[in-house]
Amino acid sequence: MSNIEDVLRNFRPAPPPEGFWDRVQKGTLPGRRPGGRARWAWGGAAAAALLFALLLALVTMPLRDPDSLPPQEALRRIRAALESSETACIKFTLEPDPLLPPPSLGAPVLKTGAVFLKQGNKLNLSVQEWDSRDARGVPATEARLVSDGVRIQRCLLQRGLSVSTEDAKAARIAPRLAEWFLRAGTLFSWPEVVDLGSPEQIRNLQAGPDSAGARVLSYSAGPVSVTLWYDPRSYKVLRRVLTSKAIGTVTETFQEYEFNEDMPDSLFVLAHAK
Amino acid sequence: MELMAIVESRTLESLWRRFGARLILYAAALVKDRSLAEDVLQTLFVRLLSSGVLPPADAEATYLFRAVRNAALNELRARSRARRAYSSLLEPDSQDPRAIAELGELGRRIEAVLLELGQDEREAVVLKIWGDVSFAHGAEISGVSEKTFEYRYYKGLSVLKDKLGQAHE
Repeated sequence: MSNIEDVLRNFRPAPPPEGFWDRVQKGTLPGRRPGGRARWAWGGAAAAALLFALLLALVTMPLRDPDSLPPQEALRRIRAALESSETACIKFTLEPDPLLPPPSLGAPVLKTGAVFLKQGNKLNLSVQEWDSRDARGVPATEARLVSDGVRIQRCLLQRGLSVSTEDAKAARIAPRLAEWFLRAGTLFSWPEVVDLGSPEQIRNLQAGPDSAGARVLSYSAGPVSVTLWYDPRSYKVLRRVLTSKAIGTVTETFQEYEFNEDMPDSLFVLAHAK
Repeated sequence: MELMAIVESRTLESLWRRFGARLILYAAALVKDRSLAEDVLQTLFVRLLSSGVLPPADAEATYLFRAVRNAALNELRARSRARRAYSSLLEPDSQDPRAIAELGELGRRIEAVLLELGQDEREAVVLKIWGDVSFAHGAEISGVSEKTFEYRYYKGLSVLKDKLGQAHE
């Protein structure tokens, strides 16, 4: 029997998911259903939602052997999923460059966020900036972007108090968000800059070496170098790292994602209409 | 949820770092779903952190595996969830890319056969091989006699050997 034991001992348990301990420290229970206000209250991040929608769409379409997919096709599927999934819910963490100035000089310690995306141009995205890594209490800054399908509203809060709102017409949110995400759009500078209008061209797209079961794509979009990890079976984006002189190195980790689950329209009500 | 971190988080965190991967694998072996296993562990550790209860120092592994077992079986009973995306349970224990590539397919076969085992045998194999517990502690965790646990373990190995042998030998 020792032989089979030796064979088995060539393997070890797969590592826990990234961000697990952070969620424990925040007291977050796993309830991943996007069903209520409590969930929406956590706020959210757009890029992650897009990724998830993308993943869903990919999962629902007939897949060829993922091993044979060239990077262009993998990226296309990611984009198509984001654009076409019925709903997507994504939670993420943005880790700033450790070489940036310390918080006392103005840089946030941590950003968290969530994105809820629904067909019909409906979006609920929020990002919180935290002064400390435990992300407890009221965030230093929170930015929200909510679309009810017709109008889109941007709202900025500091220490929980609204300081500005801005309305615009909502149009083609899912495709623009997918494009923005894949072309190196980042929420790290949000709310100062979320420009969905003129994304950079993708250049030098190539598949990187696999990492712990995840596929890797790397490419450039304008001045930003992007490395993107995704699950080759589900096409879920697992992590994204963006590097440029302007932003340093920003790591986005996607902790939660659900596709095509029931998502109440109460998530997508503009502030003045509530 | 306001979390009262009565427990010094680094202490519980150190337990997590030591046992986390093994506990997830054990939970996954019980519920046959890696994502669900992660949920079980997350719930358990949130509760441990907020309750201030730390495993006894002289029986950390037994306590944690036992707690995971209770939580996983409760989850199974209450379970009415949609099937989740597949995630790997095992990975090659090597840093050599060539060895990792060579072992990849075998790892998937092992996972598949492991999940086909009866739950008792699967639990015993996972606890003993990857949980790194003794027969005595495995029996205590599973709530059976040491002899029964040992029987389940060797029966599980035998089935694994037979099924893997067809492709492996």
